Amino acid sequence: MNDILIFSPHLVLTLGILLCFGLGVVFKWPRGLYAITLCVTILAGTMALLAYPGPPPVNTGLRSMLATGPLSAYFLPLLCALSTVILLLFGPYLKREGHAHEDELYALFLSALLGGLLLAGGRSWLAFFLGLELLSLPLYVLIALRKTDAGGNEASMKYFAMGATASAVLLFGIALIYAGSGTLDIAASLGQPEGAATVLLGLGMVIAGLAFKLSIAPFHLWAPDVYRGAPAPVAALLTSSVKAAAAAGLLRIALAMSPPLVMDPPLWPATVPMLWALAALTMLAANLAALVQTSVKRMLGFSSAAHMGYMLMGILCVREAGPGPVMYYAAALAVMDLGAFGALTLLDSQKDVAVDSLDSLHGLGRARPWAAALLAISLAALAGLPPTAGFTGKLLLFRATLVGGYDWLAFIGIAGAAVSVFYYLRALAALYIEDTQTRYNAERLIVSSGVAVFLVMVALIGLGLLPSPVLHAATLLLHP
Amino acid sequence: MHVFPLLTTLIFLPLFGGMAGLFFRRNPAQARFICLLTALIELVLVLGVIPLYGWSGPMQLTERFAWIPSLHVQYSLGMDGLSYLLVLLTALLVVLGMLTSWKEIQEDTAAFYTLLLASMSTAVGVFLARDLLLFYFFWEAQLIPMFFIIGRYGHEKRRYAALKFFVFSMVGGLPMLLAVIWLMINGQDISLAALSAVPVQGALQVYCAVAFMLAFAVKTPLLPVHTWLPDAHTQAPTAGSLLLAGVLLKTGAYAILRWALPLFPDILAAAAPWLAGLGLAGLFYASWTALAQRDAKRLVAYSSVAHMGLIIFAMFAHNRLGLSGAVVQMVSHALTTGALFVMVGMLAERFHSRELADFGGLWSTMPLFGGFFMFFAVASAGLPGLSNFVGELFIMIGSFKVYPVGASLAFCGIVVGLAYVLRLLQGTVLGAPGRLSGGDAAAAATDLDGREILILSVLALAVLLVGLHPSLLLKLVQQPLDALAAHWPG
Repeated sequence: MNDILIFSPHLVLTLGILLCFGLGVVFKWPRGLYAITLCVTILAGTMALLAYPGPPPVNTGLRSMLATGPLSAYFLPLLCALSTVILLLFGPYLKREGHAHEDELYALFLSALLGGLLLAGGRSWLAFFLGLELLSLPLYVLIALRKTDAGGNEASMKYFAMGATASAVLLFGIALIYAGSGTLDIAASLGQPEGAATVLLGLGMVIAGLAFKLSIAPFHLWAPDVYRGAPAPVAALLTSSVKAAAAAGLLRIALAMSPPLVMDPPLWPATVPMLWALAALTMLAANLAALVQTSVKRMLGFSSAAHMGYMLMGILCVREAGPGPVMYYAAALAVMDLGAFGALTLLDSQKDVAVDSLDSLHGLGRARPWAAALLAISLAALAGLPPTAGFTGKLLLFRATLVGGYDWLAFIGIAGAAVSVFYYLRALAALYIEDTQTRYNAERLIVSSGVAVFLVMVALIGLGLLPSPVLHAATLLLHP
Repeated sequence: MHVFPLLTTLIFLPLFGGMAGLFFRRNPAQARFICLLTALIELVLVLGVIPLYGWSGPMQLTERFAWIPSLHVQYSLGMDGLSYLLVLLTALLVVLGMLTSWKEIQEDTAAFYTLLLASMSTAVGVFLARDLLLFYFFWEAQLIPMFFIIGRYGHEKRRYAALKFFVFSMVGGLPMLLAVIWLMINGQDISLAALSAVPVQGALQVYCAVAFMLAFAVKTPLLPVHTWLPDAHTQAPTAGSLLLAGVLLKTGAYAILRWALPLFPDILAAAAPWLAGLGLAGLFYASWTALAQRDAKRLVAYSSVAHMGLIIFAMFAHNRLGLSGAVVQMVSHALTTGALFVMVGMLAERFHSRELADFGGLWSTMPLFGGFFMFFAVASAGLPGLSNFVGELFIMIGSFKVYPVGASLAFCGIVVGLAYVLRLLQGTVLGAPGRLSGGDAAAAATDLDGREILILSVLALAVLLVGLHPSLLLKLVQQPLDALAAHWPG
């Protein structure tokens, strides 16, 4: 019974996927799919809240697959919550696109979420890889949602070619780790000194593969193209829940390599310089690249990459400062990017303005007050201004970096943040300061997007003002 | 410990009042009224503190509770005489700023008044915060409303000015964030009391002091990081300029007194001659630049930089009398420069120009305006009996004991100040009529109406009060400044 409970979020989602396909294909009853998907997502999140953290499963097959500790207890509900908000934002967009009655869309969305849950809550490399693939495959299709749109198809091709390569590299890395350590359990394979050279080589490949998913430099160049080509809600999915799940995976690997109670973990010293270099490179390269973008979506793509650099600082210092900062930032960043891309979807929802270049934002602050406010708050959070989650997250990450003793990295990060202020502000200025001659239709928010806007705003400000609950969840990880 | 969270109310009442005003977006008059009412209630609350808690002595209202326990960050507020003075100034200037904007702001009115109130909230937060992180929180948050005030409602080059203001302040503030975090890691407690009791030692101290001073110098502003200010001031709407001069610049000077000096006494004592020199350089350079300005608002903006330079000079003269002078000068600069900004704004509202060449001889057509303008201009130049004179006198006497040469130079700088004030008067109310103030245009010029007279009278009364009876003000800040002076090494 306990096993069923532990597995229940995944089961609920699987049932949801089957239901979507079934109702869509067999019964030709696509009308309620949106509602069903929404209910399934919320139910999965609720089950995750109830079942985690719990005792490990009794069944040996399951026990080696799923971790039931505090990390899963934090990330699984988070992923479901993010997906719920994305669905709420999807609503108006799908109505407009005429996709509302396409069953495979919802099924794919749920599969991606299921993959995310496996990736974030997997104990073994097998679950890790299965999750990652289950997460990626639906996205290749979702990015090319508009069948006739050349940009979307191009983005999908790019993401697919790169993603498949990254997956292959990652899988080879896992094979090497297995060869070196003789176990598929993440914690066990990274915590022992035997076969260290082989394991390290494999780990490098795994991190390269993950770095692609997280758009960490030098594997980040796909991000702006893909975000620009993909439909805005899919881009929101790509930046928020996909990244949160991948960050959870990376955090699990880092924790496995440097358990806080072990004195000198064997593999950690070799990994530190690599993470340091990746973080520094990402913060510099992505921020400078974002500075010269004229398209908002490309800018957000680079900015999201830059934020991964800040998050890597937290991963690097997970030994000294605990997982709290990374967990907090994973949630905060997911909500910020979700807010930004969601706002772009909403700004565009009347189909009278193609939101992409900075110029296209002119005058929208007045014409679409709610969507613009959402974009403004998200940009302010990305820029790290109080009282938003972005500020508190940056504070926690830089604190972690200094606790870890990486002063120079913190300086590089601050320099990157200083550069980033400029391009976020430019977008804000385009939104509110510049006026336009164009007459836009009045804003019409439907209920679901209104709820989504409200939720994101509350999350951004609330997380920013009261980070303690998240940090408390992190301390449970360290002192169970 | 008081049951009623008065300080929290002082901080958040304006913000929530402004939000309430936003709900009446469709009806600007109502929104304006709600916002003005909020600001007035705030002013009454601030004024009510005095009879409740006495006029002098350590008027220490405090509130604190754990905010982020795992980081040892507390939500702790406190109010002493110095904070009180600046909160009072803020409340007064916001009310006046609202009255000033009554006719000027016709588009998105509700949002403008909300931004003014939000600006007030963050400034009051800066003046009351007694925990370093909380202080930084408000310090950065201050930028957001002002960015929109300048950018949305400013004049022709508003986008450039708003971006410049924001980028300067934010980039200046980010190293301070690192310094704040360093102090957090170093000690368990980052409240003001704990940090000043045990000043930081070692190499860390140098970096932190530099980072703090950089952030505060950008805001104050100190040469050479002052360049955002003339642009921001010139492009901002009138109320924006008033708040910038009266409140935002004061947060910089206040932060030096409240945080930088107590936290890093040794480093700043060592660097004092340099910083005082920078203040002097600012005084001279800005006065000189002000002489060359053609735009009345820009001239007043440069006079702002000059005054703030003098204030910094006084702060680092390490002398108790000079400190009093600096605080009096802070208040006085807010009142006189604020009033001059308001009056230049009135001119711009009437003639849609700020060029000195366009005006002249306004005294004959607008006698009331001329009288007030004359009053504030000579007050700004330091006429005895008015507020600036008191501040400058104290600064001169105090700093002369420490830097005789510097004080003599400062005196010369003040004389240059007289020159640009005379030029301002010559170009507006005196002298030959210009393009806009002669002939038919002059006939169309209307003198001040009741609302404008009210604004200027309040400011004029305050200037007179500080000028003739400075002991009220000095009594208020005596205790905090004594405590500060007791901290100095040597």
